Amino acid sequence: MFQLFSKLWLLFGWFYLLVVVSIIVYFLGNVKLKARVSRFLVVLAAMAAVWITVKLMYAQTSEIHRFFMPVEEKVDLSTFNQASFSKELQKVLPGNDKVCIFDNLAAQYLVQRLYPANPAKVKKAGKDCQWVVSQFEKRPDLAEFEMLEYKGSYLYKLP
Amino acid sequence: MKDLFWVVLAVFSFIQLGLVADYYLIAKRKVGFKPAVYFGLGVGVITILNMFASMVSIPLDNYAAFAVFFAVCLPFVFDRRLAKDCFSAVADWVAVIGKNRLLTGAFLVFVAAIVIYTFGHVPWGDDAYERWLAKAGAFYLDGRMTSYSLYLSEPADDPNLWPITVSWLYRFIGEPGEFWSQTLQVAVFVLIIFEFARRVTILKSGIKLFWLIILALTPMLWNYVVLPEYSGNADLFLSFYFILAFGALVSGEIIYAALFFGLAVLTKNDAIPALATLFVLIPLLALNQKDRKPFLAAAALGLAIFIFNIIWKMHFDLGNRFLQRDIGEVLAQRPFFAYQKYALMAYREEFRNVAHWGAGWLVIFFVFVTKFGTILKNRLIFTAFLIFGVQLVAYMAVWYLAVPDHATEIATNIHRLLLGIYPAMLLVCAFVFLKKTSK
Repeated sequence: MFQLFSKLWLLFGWFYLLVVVSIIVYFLGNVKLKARVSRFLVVLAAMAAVWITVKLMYAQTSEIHRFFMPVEEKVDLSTFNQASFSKELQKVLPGNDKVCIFDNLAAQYLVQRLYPANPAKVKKAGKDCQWVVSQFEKRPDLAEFEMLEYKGSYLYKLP
Repeated sequence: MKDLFWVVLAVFSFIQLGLVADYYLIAKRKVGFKPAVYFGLGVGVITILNMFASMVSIPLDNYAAFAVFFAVCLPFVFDRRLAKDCFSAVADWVAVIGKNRLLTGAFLVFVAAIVIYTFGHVPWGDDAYERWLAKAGAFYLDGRMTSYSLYLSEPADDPNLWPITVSWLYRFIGEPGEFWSQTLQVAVFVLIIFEFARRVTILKSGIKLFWLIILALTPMLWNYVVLPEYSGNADLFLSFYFILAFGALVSGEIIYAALFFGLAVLTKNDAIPALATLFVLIPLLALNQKDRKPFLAAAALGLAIFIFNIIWKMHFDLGNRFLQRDIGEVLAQRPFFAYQKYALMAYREEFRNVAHWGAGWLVIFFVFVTKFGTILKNRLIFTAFLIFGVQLVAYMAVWYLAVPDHATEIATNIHRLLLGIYPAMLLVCAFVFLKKTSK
């Protein structure tokens, strides 16, 4: 019996058990009770929404100051300086050369900022790469080819 | 500050365009305070205009955006009835707000909090920069959609309403800027709440306010505006078109329902089952109706958008990732029933994830079971639930056929798929609940 209850609790928890109990009470009750159960659940759900939202928003209050920063500054902060790095790259990179970029989410951001150039996302700088972009990481093996360093991101021109 | 002016003007221009389109083409020269409907229509018109221009290789630049804006201003100058009706519709709404100052104040504080959290960052998610916002920037720079920009990410079969809308916003600013694209997410979030409020306001029951709170404060809904990992995605726009479509359906506005299901299809492929189901059910809905013209018009409209979408996909050879799968091979490799059982278990877990949904699904289940008789008796509400059911089953099919492994696929997108139908489902349940319990 205890095992059965334990299994039911694991599968359904308070959420589904509350649904089932409410439905049973609704169907067994008179008109007045039906209305009360219905309203109780709606009010309960609204209270839960308020409580969870306030809790989640309160947890993020440390980020409120960002709203009051200048737009360019917060764009750069939330893109880990990749927005301004993309502008630097656009000044340097020629149109038709093969550009490679080490693959990650920030690389995806940079790729779309450099449109219509379409840098290849790579795991390793291959022989066909004429330029290599490395975000957040200096590449000791490419040190002699370094062309640009911008706030922790690097551009290398391969021979 | 200059950019803020232009993005607000861009949002206003969508509403203005939708209003004019609705006034002359659908509503037979009637205006109501329906900002969500107008915004949805305006975005739809711009999307279809851009798709058509791209098919015939006509680029649309910043001047085109302003030309459309000024052209749509003209009816307000020359059609006095339109201007007068608009003014009185807004005045009526202001009067309603004036009577509910406390509620309006609380809502404004909530929206201010959403704005503060949203505009502290740019969108920062894989999908945003691999497809949606990447395409928006490309469409803006190219002036139109090309095979190159449509194939920026593969598979290339995603519909483009969201990136087109963002690129149109960029035309007002004069440069691509992901930061400001979030204005559209905030606008759509507010409009979803507006539409919900507009639809339930006509029902006389004190408890409708609690329904509004359940929707507006659903964590997953506002998280899609506030969190950088979601704010660049198209999912909230799908929710928006679904709430417009289902709201129209249960209110008997069948033409709007077909139109918004069609525009939902241009937003995400996820909406195809909904539009197809409505199309199949329209003849049944028209049975025993004295005036069948709206049903015929709705069927024609839904079919027209569907066919236009197919022509579009064929023109750019975009295909469909699921139809192109070897279904026989998938069936051979993935035991069907075991996978569906897993999907059902995933649903079970997601519905009770109160950190995502609050207790929204609890109310939905309760209403669905306790008012099942009411649902069966009303053909429009029954149709709505049938479409919800088809959507849920279609999601299971999508997970089954998707290339990534089943568990990963479900884990990464179950909340997105459910977000599509959630506001609409809550609205339909509120309809069922409030009609029965209204005083």
